[in-house]
Amino acid sequence: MIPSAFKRLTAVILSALLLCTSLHAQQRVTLSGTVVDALGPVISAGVVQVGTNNGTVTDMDGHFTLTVPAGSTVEISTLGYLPQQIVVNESKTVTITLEEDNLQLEETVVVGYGVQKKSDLTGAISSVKAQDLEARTITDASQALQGKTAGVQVMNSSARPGASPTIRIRGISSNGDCDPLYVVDGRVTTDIGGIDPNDIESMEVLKDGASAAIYGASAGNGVVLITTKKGKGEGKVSYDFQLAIQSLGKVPHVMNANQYIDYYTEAGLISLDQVYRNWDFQTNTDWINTAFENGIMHRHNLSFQSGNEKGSLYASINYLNNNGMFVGNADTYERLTGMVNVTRKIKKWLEFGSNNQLEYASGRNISDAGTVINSHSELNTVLSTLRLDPLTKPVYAANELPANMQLILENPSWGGLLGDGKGNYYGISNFIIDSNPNPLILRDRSYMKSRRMVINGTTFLNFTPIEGLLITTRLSYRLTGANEYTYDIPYYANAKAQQSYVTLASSASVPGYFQWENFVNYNKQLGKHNLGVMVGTSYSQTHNFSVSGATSGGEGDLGVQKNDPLFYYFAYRSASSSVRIYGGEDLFNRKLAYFGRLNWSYAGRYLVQASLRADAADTSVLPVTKRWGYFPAVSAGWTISEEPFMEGARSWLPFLKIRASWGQNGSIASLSGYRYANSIASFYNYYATEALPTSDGPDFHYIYGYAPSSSGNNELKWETSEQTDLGLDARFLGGRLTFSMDWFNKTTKDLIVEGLVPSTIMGVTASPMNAGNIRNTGFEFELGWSDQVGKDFSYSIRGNLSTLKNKVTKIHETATYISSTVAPTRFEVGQPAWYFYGYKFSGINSTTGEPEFENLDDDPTIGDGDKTYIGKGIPDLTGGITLTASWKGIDLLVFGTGSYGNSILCSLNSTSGAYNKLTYFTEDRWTPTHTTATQPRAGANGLDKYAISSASVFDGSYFKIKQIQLGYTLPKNVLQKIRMDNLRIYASLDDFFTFASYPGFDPEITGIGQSLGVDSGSYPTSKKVVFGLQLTF
Amino acid sequence: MKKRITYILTGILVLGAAVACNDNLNIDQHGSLNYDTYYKTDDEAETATAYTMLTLRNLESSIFLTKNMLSDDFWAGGAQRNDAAGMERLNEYTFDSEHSNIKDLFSGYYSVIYYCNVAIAHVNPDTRVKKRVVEESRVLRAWAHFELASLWGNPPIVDHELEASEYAQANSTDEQLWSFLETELTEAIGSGALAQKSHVNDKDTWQPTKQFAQAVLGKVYLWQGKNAQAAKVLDEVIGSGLYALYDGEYEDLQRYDNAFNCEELFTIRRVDDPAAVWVNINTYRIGIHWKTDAMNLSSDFASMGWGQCNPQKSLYDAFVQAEGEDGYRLSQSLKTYPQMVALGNTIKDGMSLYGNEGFFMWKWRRLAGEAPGAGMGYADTNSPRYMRYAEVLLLAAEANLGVDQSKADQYYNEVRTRAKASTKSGVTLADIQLEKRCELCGEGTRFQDMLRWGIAADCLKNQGGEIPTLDSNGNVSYQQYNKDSSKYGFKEGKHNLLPYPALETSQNTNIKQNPQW
Repeated sequence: MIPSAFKRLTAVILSALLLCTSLHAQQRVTLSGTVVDALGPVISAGVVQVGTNNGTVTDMDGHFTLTVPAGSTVEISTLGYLPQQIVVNESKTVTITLEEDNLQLEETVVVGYGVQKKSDLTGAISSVKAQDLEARTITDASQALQGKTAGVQVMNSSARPGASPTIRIRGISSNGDCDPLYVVDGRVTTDIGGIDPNDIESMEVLKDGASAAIYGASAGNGVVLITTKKGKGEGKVSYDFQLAIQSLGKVPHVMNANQYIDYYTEAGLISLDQVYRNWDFQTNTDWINTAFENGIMHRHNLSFQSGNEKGSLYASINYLNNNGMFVGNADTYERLTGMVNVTRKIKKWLEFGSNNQLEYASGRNISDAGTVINSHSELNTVLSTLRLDPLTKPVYAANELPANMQLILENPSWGGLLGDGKGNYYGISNFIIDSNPNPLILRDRSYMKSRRMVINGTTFLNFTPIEGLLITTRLSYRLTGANEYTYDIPYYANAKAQQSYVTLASSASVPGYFQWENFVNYNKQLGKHNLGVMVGTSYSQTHNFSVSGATSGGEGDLGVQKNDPLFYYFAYRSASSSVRIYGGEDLFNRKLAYFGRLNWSYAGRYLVQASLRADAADTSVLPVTKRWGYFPAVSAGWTISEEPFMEGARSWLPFLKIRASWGQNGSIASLSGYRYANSIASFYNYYATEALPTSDGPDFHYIYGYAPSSSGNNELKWETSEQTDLGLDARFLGGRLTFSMDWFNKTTKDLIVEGLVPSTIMGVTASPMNAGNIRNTGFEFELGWSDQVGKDFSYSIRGNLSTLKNKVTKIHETATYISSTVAPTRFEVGQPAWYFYGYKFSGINSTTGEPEFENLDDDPTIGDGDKTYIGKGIPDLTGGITLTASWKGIDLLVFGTGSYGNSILCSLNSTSGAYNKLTYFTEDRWTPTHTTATQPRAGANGLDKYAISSASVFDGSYFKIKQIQLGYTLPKNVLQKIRMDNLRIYASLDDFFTFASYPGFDPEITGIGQSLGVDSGSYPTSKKVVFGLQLTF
Repeated sequence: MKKRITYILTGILVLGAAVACNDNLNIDQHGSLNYDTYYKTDDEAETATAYTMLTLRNLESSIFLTKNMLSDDFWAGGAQRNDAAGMERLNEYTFDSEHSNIKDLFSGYYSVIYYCNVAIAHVNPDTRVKKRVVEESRVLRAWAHFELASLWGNPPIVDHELEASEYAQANSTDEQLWSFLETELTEAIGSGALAQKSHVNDKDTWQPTKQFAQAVLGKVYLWQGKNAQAAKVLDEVIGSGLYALYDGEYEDLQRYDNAFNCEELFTIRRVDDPAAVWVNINTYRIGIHWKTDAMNLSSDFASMGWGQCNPQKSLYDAFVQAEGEDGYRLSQSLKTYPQMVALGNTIKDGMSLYGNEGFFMWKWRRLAGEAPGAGMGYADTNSPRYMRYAEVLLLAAEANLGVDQSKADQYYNEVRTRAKASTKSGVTLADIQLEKRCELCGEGTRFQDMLRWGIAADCLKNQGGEIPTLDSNGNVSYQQYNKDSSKYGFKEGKHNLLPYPALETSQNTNIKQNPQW
């Protein structure tokens, strides 16, 4: 079959070429008319004499005139509509009404700098449509990609209100920034947090290299194109309301009071005497329950839209208020967003459009592994709930204070006790001295609020001077005003958690971004040949200006004039407080690009596409000589089902396409700030520029130290990822069954590696270098089934599954591995990126109760030479499944997602001090009478090694039912009476059921980046009970 | 109309091309200078030395805490077992080649070397000042190499800025190393370019001096056993008359307002500048200060101290042996707990001090006035003293053993006299060893001396076996945390040299790890 198909292809191409020159001498008739759809004229529709290159395109009013031989068949077609054919025997004027093509395959898909029919795609592009974004509890649009598209992994390092997830498309292809590029209505951005998911029409994920290559230098991690809604049809007003009650989902078990006492007296870290002196024999605090309560999220979306051939308007206003699960109002996220999208035909040949999003957001959050508040990077409120001893009460009344708290009360100069303001004080442990004391203290010792106001948008002009030619000039912009205000107050908990003064920090920044793009699309239909050309330029600039400052008191200096929140501002700082200021400089980043694309297709069967983009970075990113990067791509597709020989199979196989693509993308996201340069800079320590005093007399002066700030690397260049993709799309059984699969092989070369210590004797910080290659390969499957049973019942199943193999294939000659600075992970040749590097636990010594590890080197003692691969955070398999069913007005949706083959390194246990532990690690511990235990004895030596051994690595596989939603839509006749178009109410259980063996909070929320899969205490996902209402009139 | 459109089109394209001009991509970097054109003037040259000195100043904690922990003078303390786990591992000889303090100290010395190499390569010695900058960089570079050699044995010699292709350096041989150090120091000393104090009480000479270079050369000779040459060059330092033992109270030696006194050979200055408090973060002084939150202290003392570095009883015993229980220098160096109590400093009721054997460092006590309030307790104005004249005298005394006994006696007795201790003639190496332990306790010399004298295994073999805790009632109890004696304590043949950091050996195939690591 294949050889004959190729013969046919050759024949087709030859005949197409011949046709161009052939002439016919029959009687000629003229067909003229107007092409319209439900809304009005259809512009640029193709009108072609079938089997020839004789054709035209409709003008601004939908008119066309075509002269053809009498008896010819003329086909009228355009993107997104079912083609129509008419036989023309005599000259006539007709009005042709095109029907929208409702088959999913004929959807148009937004591609970079244009749109394409889905059936014409030659790359791997997944779409998420509005229905996957509506009635969800997601607040950040990127969360909608989870479980809905193959090849996209959504990871969270924190589920606190307002947190954005991390998106990985086709694995980890860099060791720096792996975030995809977001393009919102043409505007390139890294942050889509300000767009309400309800305002999104569709999201397209450009996964393969060829599809993304048109975004060249920034597309190495894939591209997510977001198209916001456009006004359609008669005027329509919609209102959506949602209320979600959030509570802790999966809760880990830690030791209770008796278990804790047993364990630590056994360990010798606490004496019974100490227990008797400091425990009331009753208290058994559950810190998790103390710290978490039910949180409430509610949101409102109001939108207006209308559109016709002259223009369209979509406007919305959205309000979101999420008060998270942490007790009190310390974790909140409030967002008011608006959108105004307009288009307007100014002239027949000129269209104006402007899409704008407005955002005001403010929030507060508690510290967890995914956040750093006010530079207290060691603070982790979530971790404190797992580690505090159960013998201490959360709150003590003033008349029952234990001695350690009484002592603090008697020494107010230390900073004082914090309390609930009603005469009760937050409890302070007598057993644990840690920078994370009582979570209530962590909450109240510090106050931080951040706010931002953002105007995002794209304003464009479309010129269509001649048929088939579209010239676009568009300006995209992002104007932000952001500020942050923090204060820390005096308090005393213990030696490591105390402060006797007030510190203030505040910052204001006004970053601005603009991007100006000009591009030309030209499409020409020549018979069955369709040719498309696009060329364009892009220029963008980021400008940042921020000022921040901090003041601090010190010993004997409160830092502010009065210890009162009304004085917690810079203006009222004490005269002797120390002051630090930062910023106040203009910082620019600029980019320039040229790009072009060629499409050719024949009869919808043979599809070929090629593109090239040239990108230039500014000198803050790359040296001048390495500034330009070139990113080519080619792709091809063959729609086998369109072949004449497949006609017989169309009843059961209406569509079958195979496609292949190859492309290169770049990445420099990890770079900025002249890090390649070895220019001379002054001596700077962690806090400030340091200078050397040459005398301490009254007239002492400083000498500044100047030296190269890094080793310098003038050879630094773009990181390049190269990707090959083979794909297949098919529809069976009248389109009810859809299937597509892809195989990809993505290799990132010249990885930009920062923070590499290639040598400890080089003596200076190494500049970033192009060091290493990394490869991701995998298969992706998407399968869908939808059917109607009888008149009232319809259902569908959509599922996707992706596999991923990630491997570092090369590292620079100066280094064989890169050690993480933040986690026990490594980036090493032959292994997955940032795999867990530690000891292989071999069991518990039955006589001593000590953990034992495999000895992998010659040295008889267990040491660094015995560390090896003990797991990885990257899953082998990820997938999602969505089931829908509707019967009359009732609809049901079940959506689940999961991962398989990833591990979690549990870093929740502390190896020092008398911290509480997960019972998993204590219940089956070795004791003199239980020598066949799976866990070490209390207080065993080598617990530090145990914590980074395979014994602390868990299977991270999980399956989570993210949504079970039941809705009811009122019947039409009822709606008509109340003059509404649509009214649906629903209830939903979101993130309610998780199936996992991991003993910590939530297997879905662990570290990202270098800490991939390392759980060090992140804000867990909540389970939500949701009620909602959607109405349209 | 077509014409109009053509105009618009052309306009857009021209505008697009103009905006997209390449020149906009050239953006100057703020706060930086061009490496190729910098270091031309005298002032610019001096900033190179300043950078090296600042780098070294920031190594204070790394140098002193690491070396103290490895010696038999101190216990690793902190809030409880494992609070200062890294130090415990050093102190108990359970560390390995990945130990971060070892790595930081190793790479820290090489960063000093790097900045010296920058100055040597880029400062053209065509003026007096520039010549001095080059020569003093050679001295500091040699000093750093000496430190590396005395701790790691045969570290690579790095005498220029390394290209990426040169990172995999091999170990030096003994011959290369010592001849490099001798040549560099001898030439620098002979250059006439190094700074010298103008008189014995000159407090304004901040650069490394000729006498410092000579003292380092003296150590280089002594470490090779070239005692006669060591004696000669150390005698020259003494003979310069530019240094003398401080004659005020001994307990003031490490005080802020006593920095750059007549006996300091190499000190890097900190000043009490309210505008620059945060550059004076000093974790060494906080670490070696008492465990303040567990104690009720007189207000004379800084209220932040971690008690991580507490004297061993064996140090106290050494003092008693050297000068008796009531020795003047002992009373101004260490305090027993009863003495602390008598001064009004007690352990809070019910609290205990982990890693404390009942003794408190007095020489290194932190005064309230030296911890500026705005520094939140983390800042300390004290200048790190890298070498004192007392060390020179004791080095010279040792070098003169078997060369000129009268000089050995004279130098030894000079130190003893200032300590208000008895003098003697015919001093032996054992006398000098005891004297040096007391005189220089906590000043980062003991560990290297023990290695050189060959007494380390003897003194340190049981380190880590039992760890003391001092209760508020003054009782000391001992706890055994390490139970397998093959896994703690100094092991002859292994611990005589520190391990090259795993980070280096795993990437540098040319470097040979020290035995048994």
